Amino acid sequence: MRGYVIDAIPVRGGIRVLLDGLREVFLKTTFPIYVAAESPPDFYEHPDVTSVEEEEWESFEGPIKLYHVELEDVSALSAFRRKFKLYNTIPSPLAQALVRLNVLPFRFVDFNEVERVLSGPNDFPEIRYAEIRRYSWFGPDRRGNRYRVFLNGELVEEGEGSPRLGCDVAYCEGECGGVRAVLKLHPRSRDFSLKADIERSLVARVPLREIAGSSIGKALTINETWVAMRRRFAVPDVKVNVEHPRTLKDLINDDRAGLIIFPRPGFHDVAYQLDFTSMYPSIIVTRNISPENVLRASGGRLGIVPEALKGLLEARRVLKAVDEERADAVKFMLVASFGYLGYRNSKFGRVEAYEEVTRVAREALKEAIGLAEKRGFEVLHGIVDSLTVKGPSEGLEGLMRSIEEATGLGMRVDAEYDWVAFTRGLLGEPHPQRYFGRVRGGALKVRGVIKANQPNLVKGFLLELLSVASKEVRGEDARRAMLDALPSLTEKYVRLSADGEPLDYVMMVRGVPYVRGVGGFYRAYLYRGHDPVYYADYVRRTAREVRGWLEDGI
Amino acid sequence: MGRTQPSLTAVVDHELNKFERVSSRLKDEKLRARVRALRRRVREVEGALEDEPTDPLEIVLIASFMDDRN
Repeated sequence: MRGYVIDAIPVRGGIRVLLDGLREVFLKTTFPIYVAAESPPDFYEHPDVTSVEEEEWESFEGPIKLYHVELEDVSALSAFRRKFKLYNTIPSPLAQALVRLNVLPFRFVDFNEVERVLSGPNDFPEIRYAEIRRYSWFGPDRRGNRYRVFLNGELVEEGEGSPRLGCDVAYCEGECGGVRAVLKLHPRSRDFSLKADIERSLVARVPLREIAGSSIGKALTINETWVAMRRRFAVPDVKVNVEHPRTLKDLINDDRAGLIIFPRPGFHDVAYQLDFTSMYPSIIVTRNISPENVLRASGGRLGIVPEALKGLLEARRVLKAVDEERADAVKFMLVASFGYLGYRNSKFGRVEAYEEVTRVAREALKEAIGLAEKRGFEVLHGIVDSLTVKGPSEGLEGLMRSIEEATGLGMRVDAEYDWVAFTRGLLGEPHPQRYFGRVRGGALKVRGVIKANQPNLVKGFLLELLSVASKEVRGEDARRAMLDALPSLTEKYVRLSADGEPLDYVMMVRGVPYVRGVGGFYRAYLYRGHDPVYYADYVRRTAREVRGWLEDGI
Repeated sequence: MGRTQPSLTAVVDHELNKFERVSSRLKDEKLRARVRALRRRVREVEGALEDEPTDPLEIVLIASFMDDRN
């Protein structure tokens, strides 16, 4: 039999592999676990143990002796977990058994062949995958009565109640009794699409149900653990993480974040935003920064984290040419990689490694600023991995190449602005990350100006104001156009704060819709009136802040 | 960076807020205007002192000299 592997269910003595088209194959196997114990206990006392082998592994604490135990039933794992310290439990024994059998999730597999996987490393499965998203009157809502069905990414059906369809994999929100699928999941978070999670399942080589709805770090950690296991580096369930001793002065010097060059507020004509591509993961790879080698010599060998990230960087590069959404799924794993390096509870977290990455990043950005200024560019703004400069366009290519040469990191032009405006807060201090600008071609790039938790009314006000600016090619004209439009738009939206639609008054705070009523904020599952004074004040306050930005001029 | 130390920017703002409270208690409009002007400069100084081990009050102090000059 052959087909796409959709899911796998461990049973006593083997695995039920579920294929597309509601087909199934049973594979006889055992499940590996790794146990740390001083003297060899009698594992065979447990009826599910089929074999035990003593093995030498590396670990964060040095060489370690582990007992490699094969279980007939994976449910015996909990009994061992209660009694012993376990290693290598992520990826799960099920995923480890599947990889051993060469049966990889979402790959096309021929069960009659020894080399079972037939699909290429970058092939996306040709299956039917569906997402059922629910909505209420205010927008996305897991408990909403209205639904939309997206089949292979395309909207195919809208309605109320419960949808009916058949597919291979489905992400469901709310009641999905009418959906017939090989694998039907109800992920807790809506952060990632099903397609993105399938991509991560492909990359991490674990069944989708193990990463669906979990944090992005899980897929990343699994990827790193595969590298570690290949090197016989044991990863504990719970790791002891003690920082090396240092003086307070050293701590102050070492423990710093990315560099921020606060912008000069105001409108600036013709500027370029240059970004280091995948800066932090690239630093981790090129400088070989890994928790196991940050405090001791690596001996020239690439660390576990760099090796895992190198594979991800390459996968992203290849996928970028194939499918942007799939490349983004990998990109988010790379984005999380740096945070997880510093997170003490992550399997490969070590704060010293994290500090080393920020140190190199700060040096690289400073180097880039120095080179830009030497080549006659004015640096308007810099933040961690991005630099906005003003200067001769013909020198831009040369500048980027010189930065790449000096830092060893890739650069790209993120935006070519006709004009860009940096803003101030109400108290007058420049905002490091609140700016807007018109990029070549007329589109607007807006960062931090419109916030997710603002009422829709205020968002509408800002959007309308910015669309006025987007028509102007010169910064000074954009500024004047905004200044001219500000009074009438403020008046329009202050009026709307009394007689708008209920949707205008909704603000989403961490995914929960709120409306401000006369008695205070309430959850907006049902609209029960609003406080017009609060919304009018909000619009006026925003207008006052915008006026402050516009006063800075060119 | 937040793990062990508070954000430098937040501490600098804390100092400025203290100045502002003092100026309003003293009902000194000139001082209040100076603190407002300081706010517009202080980030620049913060950036320039990136490589130096710095006390937040020192940043505010340098910004106030700078304000005099401009």
